[in-house]
Amino acid sequence: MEKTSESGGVDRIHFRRLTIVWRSRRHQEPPSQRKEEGVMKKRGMRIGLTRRFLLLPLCALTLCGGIQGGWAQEYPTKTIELIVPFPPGGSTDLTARVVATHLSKKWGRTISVVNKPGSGGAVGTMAVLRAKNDGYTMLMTVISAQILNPAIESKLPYKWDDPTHIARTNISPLVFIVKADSPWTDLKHVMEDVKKAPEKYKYGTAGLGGPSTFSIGQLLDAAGVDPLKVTRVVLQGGAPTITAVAGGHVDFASQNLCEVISMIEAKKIRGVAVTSPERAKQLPQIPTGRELGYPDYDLIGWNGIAGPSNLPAQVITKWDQGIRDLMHDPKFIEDMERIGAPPSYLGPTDLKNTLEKEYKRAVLFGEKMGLRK
Amino acid sequence: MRGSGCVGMEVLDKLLLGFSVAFTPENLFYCFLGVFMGTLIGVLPGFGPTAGIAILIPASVALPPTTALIMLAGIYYGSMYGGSTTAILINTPGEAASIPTALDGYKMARQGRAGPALGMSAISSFIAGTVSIVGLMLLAPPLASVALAFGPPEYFSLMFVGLTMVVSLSGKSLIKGILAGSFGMMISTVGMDPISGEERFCYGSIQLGAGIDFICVVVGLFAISEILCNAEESLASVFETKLKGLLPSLQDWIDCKWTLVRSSILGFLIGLLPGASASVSAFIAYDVEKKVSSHPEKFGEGAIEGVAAAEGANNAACGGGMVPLLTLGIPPSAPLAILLGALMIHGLRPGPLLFEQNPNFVWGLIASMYIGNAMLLLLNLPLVGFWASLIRIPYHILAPIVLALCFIGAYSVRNNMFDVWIALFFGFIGFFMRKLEFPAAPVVLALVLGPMAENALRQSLTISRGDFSIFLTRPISAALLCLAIVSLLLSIVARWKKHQKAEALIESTSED
Amino acid sequence: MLVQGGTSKGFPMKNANIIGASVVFVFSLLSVIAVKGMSIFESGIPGPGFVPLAFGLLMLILSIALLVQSVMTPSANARVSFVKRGSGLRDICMISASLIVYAGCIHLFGYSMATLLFLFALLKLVGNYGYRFSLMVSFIATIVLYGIFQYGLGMIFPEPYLFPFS
Repeated sequence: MEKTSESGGVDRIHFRRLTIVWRSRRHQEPPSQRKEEGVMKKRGMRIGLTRRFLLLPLCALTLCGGIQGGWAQEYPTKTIELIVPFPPGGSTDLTARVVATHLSKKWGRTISVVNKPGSGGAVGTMAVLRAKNDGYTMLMTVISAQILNPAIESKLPYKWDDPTHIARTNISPLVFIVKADSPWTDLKHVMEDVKKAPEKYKYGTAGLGGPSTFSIGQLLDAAGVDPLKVTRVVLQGGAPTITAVAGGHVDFASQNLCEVISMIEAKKIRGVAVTSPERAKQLPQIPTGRELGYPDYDLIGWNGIAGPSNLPAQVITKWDQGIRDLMHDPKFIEDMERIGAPPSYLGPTDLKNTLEKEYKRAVLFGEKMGLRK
Repeated sequence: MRGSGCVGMEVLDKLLLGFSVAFTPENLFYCFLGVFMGTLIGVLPGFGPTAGIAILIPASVALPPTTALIMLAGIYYGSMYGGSTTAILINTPGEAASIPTALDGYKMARQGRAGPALGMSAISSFIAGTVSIVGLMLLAPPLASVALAFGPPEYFSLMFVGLTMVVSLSGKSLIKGILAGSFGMMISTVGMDPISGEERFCYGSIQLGAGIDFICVVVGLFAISEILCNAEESLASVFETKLKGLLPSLQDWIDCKWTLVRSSILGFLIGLLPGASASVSAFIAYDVEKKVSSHPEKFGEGAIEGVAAAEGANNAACGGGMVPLLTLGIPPSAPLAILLGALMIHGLRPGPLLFEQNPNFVWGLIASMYIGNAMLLLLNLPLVGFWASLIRIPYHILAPIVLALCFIGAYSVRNNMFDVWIALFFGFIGFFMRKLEFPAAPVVLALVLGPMAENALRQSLTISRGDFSIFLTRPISAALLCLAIVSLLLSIVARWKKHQKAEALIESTSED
Repeated sequence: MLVQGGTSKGFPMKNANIIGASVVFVFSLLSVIAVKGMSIFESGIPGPGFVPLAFGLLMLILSIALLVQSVMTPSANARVSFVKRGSGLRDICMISASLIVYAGCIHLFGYSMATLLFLFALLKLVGNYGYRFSLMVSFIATIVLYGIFQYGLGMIFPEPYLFPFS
């Protein structure tokens, strides 16, 4: 093998040159690393260059780990990963980023948002449930992945109460939308027409299951229409659903408030009702379902913070306290309202009770709408 | 005509306003930072603009909204410039939009023409990018409703047009090409079916349930298998050492002048439509060039028009995609979805009101895109020499580093180790596919377009209650289907001609 | 085009083609069988099984055609070998094995250590460079890669299973 000897010769020269560069740079290194060198010298060992190459980064790594992994201090002592089980850009992701930014500032520790999308949130949720329950891997929860999917999918590897639910951060109401030039201006009209000939109409939902499917189902059921008789067109997400309504490809849909505002302002779609108990600040002209006599049109999306099961009490308190404090921070409230996620706090026990009710209702409607598998 | 003159003046006024916003030192600096980061992110295989923008959103929160968005948008279109670099140099398209670039660009690099390929991709990116900003500026409000006219039937027909390109991407054997495309379709069905919620081919694994991401497949089929194949030959001689020129020659320019016009317009128009805008437009532009070219047989063997078409179209699609984003708040692609999120974090709500209430922002952003594109050209042309000299690094050193980069890229797509194993698996599959002369591009094409085509088909038939005529009774859809058939016929005729030429060639060269 | 072996040494291309076509055939057969249980049509509308079945059948038909084609093709170019024996094959096996070990090591040691080991192994074993040179290049490359991604782009690498540093 001629090649070997040739390249061997070449690399030796390269190696020498680089060594010199490296040596001269070593003198500028921070004191902590120079101390390392000192320790090595004290041992009276002449460590070969190669071995030093190997050792230095290793030492640096261990040092970092050692410092960060100290146990004397109060939680959190190192970077926390906040897992978002969806791709970046969605409402859950944005919420996580706002919460992470504000809490990082408060705690003086980085909270990194890590997106682990897939299987409607199951991949990210499972990643958290499998992680160590030390509070350094947390989950940004959302109604669909945590409540609605477990209610209809018997095969999911987790149950709704497997994660330790700590606090709710915000709610996101849904808006019932129709095409801008449709004759419908009132939810009552819509329901009357649909009741007369349910087969004639189509509604769009962002994916199967999720609040956009459930809220329509609950509304139709309350209006005395069999939800199975109206054609359900499952679209790939929020934006395609809203476009389909605006383009007249489906007749109505129920979508997140923050997603529909632009198109309502562009006069491409019309909002008919909103699910929140009070009218939404951003769209005050749209009445609530309760006002219109449809109190069952009240499904509200939410986000929250959770961790793996059996989370230490210290971690739960820290996060709960952190979120509760944020609720009084005007900057946080402003940031959350900008992304269309008005803050709304619920503590560990209240949240769990609410979720249990929500879950039971979802199981019921999942069966009514033929979603349960 | 008077009316249009007034509109023209009005646009000019607004553009001047925009430039006055964009030309502040701070905005210029962040614009540069954005396009620079974008180029870097585009160069790293697997690491796309989606992740890049997401990472920089927190850092941008501290900036004023216009500045922040100028930077983040810079990352987006900057990454389209960078994406071609690895596609050309090491046959590793950073994203689906750069696959057509790799088809010809990598061949050019191996012929010692990496410089012209890189130069042409920067120049065509610049020209098409600028054309699409002009389009965005002049046509944004009227074009906004185009996106709404596209319902599921129209999408199905559009995707069908895209899928007919399998024929022209097939290489030597049509059977193998279609088999590769079908394989891509089969892979695309793995995971949770979005319409019925049923799990397909996942056998209880939630990792498989999440589906197979095409970036991992691209990394495997193109990059890893490329290195495995090269390992067979003497690795040192992968690239001819001699670099023939760093910039496109006059002949290259003459070859590409109409390509640039066509791909700019096509890219912009396809970019308007929500869906896989950049990648679909790159594939379609490549296919169109191949069809109108006087020497289609050179495509896939190092035709510079192929590089110009693909790179032009994917950059033009960036400008096109901004139209529905800014006017309606509809993001046509994943990176734009994050840009929408960034807009919202900064309290800017897209829509017609944005143009009225925040003209400084809208026109500042548009003006910054002109500036950013010019910066990218100035940044990328000098870099051509640097990138081209990278392939002079001994392949024995370059290859392991590229493999390590591939792993990082595959991991970064969904922060999931499973994706690394997927990439590795497809690396081995790709090796055998190459050895048996199955083309890799149709697999990825079908993987990207397949899910959209399938969903659109089932949604359309749900709307029509099982009536297939819905595709023919709606004018846009019918027109697209006609186009698909014409395209299919043209490709088959082209193949037949090429086949004859090739046979003649074999006969004439069989003596030696 | 890549395959220009030339000698009768190695695996004949014709056999490789036949085996390849058979593998595709078996794959498509298996996928058509796997579609069983998914609904093809639900009240006139294509269900989840529609597309997999359609393309599975297409693949099945085409693979039979390919099989016939590769059997019928005269073995005139049979001298072209599928994989060259010798150092090429050795390198391919070496790289494949290191890739698998690399992916496994990431689970165990985390990215930085695994990348270091992987680069070192390839430079030493496939590149035939000296110990010191391989070590140095792999160190520099690892640190640069780690620096760009971890600090420049804020990416979070998977946590090592054995030594959870941080």
